[in-house]
Amino acid sequence: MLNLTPYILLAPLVGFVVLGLFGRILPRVVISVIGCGVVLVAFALALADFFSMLGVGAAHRVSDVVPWLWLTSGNLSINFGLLSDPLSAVMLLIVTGVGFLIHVYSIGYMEDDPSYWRFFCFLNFFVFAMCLLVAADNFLMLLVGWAGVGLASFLLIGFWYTRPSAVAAARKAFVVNVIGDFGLMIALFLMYGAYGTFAYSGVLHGRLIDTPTLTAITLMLFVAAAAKSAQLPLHVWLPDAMEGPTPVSALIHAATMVTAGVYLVARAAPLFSAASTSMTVVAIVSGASALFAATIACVQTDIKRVLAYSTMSQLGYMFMGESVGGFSAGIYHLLTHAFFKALLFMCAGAVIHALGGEQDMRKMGGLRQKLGRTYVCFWAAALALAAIFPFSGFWSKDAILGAILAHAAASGGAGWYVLYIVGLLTAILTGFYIFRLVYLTFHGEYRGEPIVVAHGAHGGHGGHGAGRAAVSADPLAIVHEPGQTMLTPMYILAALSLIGGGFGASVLFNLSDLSTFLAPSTGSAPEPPTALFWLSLALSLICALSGVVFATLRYGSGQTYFVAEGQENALVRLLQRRYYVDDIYDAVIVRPIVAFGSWLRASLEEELDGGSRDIGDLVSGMGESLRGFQTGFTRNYAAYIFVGVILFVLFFLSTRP
Amino acid sequence: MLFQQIAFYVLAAVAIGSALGVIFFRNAVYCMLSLILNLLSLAFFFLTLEALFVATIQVLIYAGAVMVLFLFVVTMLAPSSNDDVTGRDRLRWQWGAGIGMGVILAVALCYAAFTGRLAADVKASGAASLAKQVASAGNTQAFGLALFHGYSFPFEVTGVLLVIAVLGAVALGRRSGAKE
Amino acid sequence: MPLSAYLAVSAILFAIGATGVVIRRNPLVMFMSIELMLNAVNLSFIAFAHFLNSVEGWMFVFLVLTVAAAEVVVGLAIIVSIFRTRHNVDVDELNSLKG
Repeated sequence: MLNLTPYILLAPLVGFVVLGLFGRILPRVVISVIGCGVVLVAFALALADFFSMLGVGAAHRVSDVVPWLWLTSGNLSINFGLLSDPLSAVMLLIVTGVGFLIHVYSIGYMEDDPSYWRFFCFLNFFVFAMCLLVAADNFLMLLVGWAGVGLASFLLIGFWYTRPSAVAAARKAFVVNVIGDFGLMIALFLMYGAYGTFAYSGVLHGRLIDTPTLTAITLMLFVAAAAKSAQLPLHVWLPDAMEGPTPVSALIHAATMVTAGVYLVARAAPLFSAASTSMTVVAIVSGASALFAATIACVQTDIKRVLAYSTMSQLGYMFMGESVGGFSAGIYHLLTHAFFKALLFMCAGAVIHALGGEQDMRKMGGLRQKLGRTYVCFWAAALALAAIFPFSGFWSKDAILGAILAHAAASGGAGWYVLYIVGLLTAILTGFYIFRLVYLTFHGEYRGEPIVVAHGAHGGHGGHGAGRAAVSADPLAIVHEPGQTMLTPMYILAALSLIGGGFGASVLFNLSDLSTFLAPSTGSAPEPPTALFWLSLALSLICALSGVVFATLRYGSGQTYFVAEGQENALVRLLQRRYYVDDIYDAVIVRPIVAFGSWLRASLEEELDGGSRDIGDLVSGMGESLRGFQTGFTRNYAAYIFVGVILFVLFFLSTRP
Repeated sequence: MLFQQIAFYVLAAVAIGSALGVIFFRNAVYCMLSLILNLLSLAFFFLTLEALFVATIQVLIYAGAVMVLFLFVVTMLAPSSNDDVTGRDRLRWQWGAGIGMGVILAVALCYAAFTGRLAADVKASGAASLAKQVASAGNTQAFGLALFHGYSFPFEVTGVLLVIAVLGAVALGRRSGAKE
Repeated sequence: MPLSAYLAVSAILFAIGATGVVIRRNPLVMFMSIELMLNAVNLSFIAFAHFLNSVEGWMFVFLVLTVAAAEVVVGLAIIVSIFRTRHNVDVDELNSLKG
């Protein structure tokens, strides 16, 4: 089978380098072609790899290519190696495929931006780093890719670096990510100590080691995953990361980067399967995150923040699936989530773009007529997210819930049933908040100000409508649909959201489906017995539908229930302040560290600066005192010479025999 | 021998006495005269040491020409009163320090001289004694032969030095050029 | 008289001259003290020439004499040019190199 992974990495890297060096002087068209073209090339190559993989039998679908040996030190030798196996093939397809669609979308979305080239340059770098992450054949190269995507996230969140809020958000994201990096590094150290190697072949299929070490390794890996995938308590960066441009949110914070944590846990599936304590921890954290985020999403007023919390909640779902051994189910949900979440962000971006930068839902409404096509795409994505039959989200979420139920039934622990209930509750809330979003944005009356400058991504930047200052009767007079470059990717993703369930459910690849395809890498997911299977199917559908119905009742005919400032009840306030997590962090962690830093700086300045200042003072003091010898009187100088002569004579007398 | 010893002591006393006079007299002209006395006594020392030519030139040149030059300058720059410099001495402590140091130096060197440190082996050097035998033909002739045979280069250099000194003196002695 | 006696006299004269330089404020007297030191050295050269039976001592004295003469000429010219306009000759007035 083919392993073209080096070239899949090479293409976006070339794009990054070329755009980085020459982007400033290239014309827009060339930048767009290069930026999107390299990702298209990567996608084509990934597709070729995938199809060649289908051609060989299940047991032989592993190919390891080592372009070069990175370093050797003593017994340790690390390769820059690239692995092509089912899991990495699926991930590469997602990254390059959805990445390509978002690149095309960005052509339209960022058209007014003066730093157009920089955006594509960073996006290409991100694609390169993410491909490296998923294609590495040892944990150390994974760490390299991990850090690379963290960097790309920082650069892209803070893309509009003149905004202080964007800079602060980028910094916050980076700091929280570094905590995850730290966890990953500790896991690597432990891994090296236990296995003596970093390669997947050595670690994942290696000898058995004792459970405490294994638990430690897997817990540290999960810390890294939690930081990258925004699970409690390291989730605080994700809502703020919405400061970046919407394509960034779509690609990085919905479809690919945040799923790196899910990928990591899936890749380390053999390790996790053997450490049941870690699995329990994963289950608890992910279940709590899913429910936590879903509740907060119900009261958010910013479109993108609703979607951010939704992402966190769905990531929780993926981890929940993985915590019961359903690693392939988690990856399946990753796949479908990439489709509909990216689509949701794209549609939100279209709305924002059309309204000239407005993101607050309280100022939206009644956009159904003006943005009809966006509205349709939004419905497709919302149905998929809410997991309504027969859309893609339904199949993947059901795979997860079914796996949980199967595990609960098989192991009999009450905790797993609680996890299942949590999953159902979150499903209800998911249906509720996403349709709340749809109704508030598109139905009812328009609640905002007249749009005079449309077509801007960041608040009135340039635009065609600037000339028409006259306010017509219709405040939305100049609002229009996004251009073709933005709509086409949306259509493609909408189609995938509708039929993407086929990857897991139907008999596409030689009578096998995604979980069977992934089994060599991740093991098989627990399958519930038939009765429980149908029960779980029915329950998840009922919960999802009930959420949707409730939202329709409350918001469907256009009434809004925005509570005025200061009049919320305690529950709503709790949710709006996001359970005060940010405030707790600020008080407990941020303030003491900042105070410590100030104290340290003051005392160090005093000690070190003062010390060097004291040395300077000492020298100049010596100079001052020696100055007394220069009296200017010739006789004094003669006297000094006289003293010297006497000393010389005395010395001469004392030494000669 | 006795005569020589007496001569030595007398000359030594005069030399040292006049030296003390140079440094202690308040009036600059008295210092000047003491110096001339000192130079003459040294000339007599040279005579006792059989350096006839050197003694002669010491009297002629040093005590004669150089000291006359000094006298001219001293009288030209004489202060209005007969006292030495007016104004208080800003460095009074140097009196004590200077005298102390002088005593120390004198004592140290005398000690070195009398315990033989300075002239441990006083032997005649071979080739030069030849010149001394030539001196029986005359002190001046011996001096001249040595000077122009062995030391002609320093002699020439000294001539250049004197020319430079004269030029320097002329240049320094003029009043500032703009007025002329 | 033994050599050491002459050397002792020379040493004493030298010390006196050095003291004079340090003590006196009149530049001319300082100069005279320097002449005193040079003559003391001349005495010790002649003493050595006598006791070593060599002529180098005389040569040195000759050179010292000549150089001293040149030095006196130039030094006095300098002193005259510095103190020409003053009524008060005091070396301590020349302390503008004070640091």
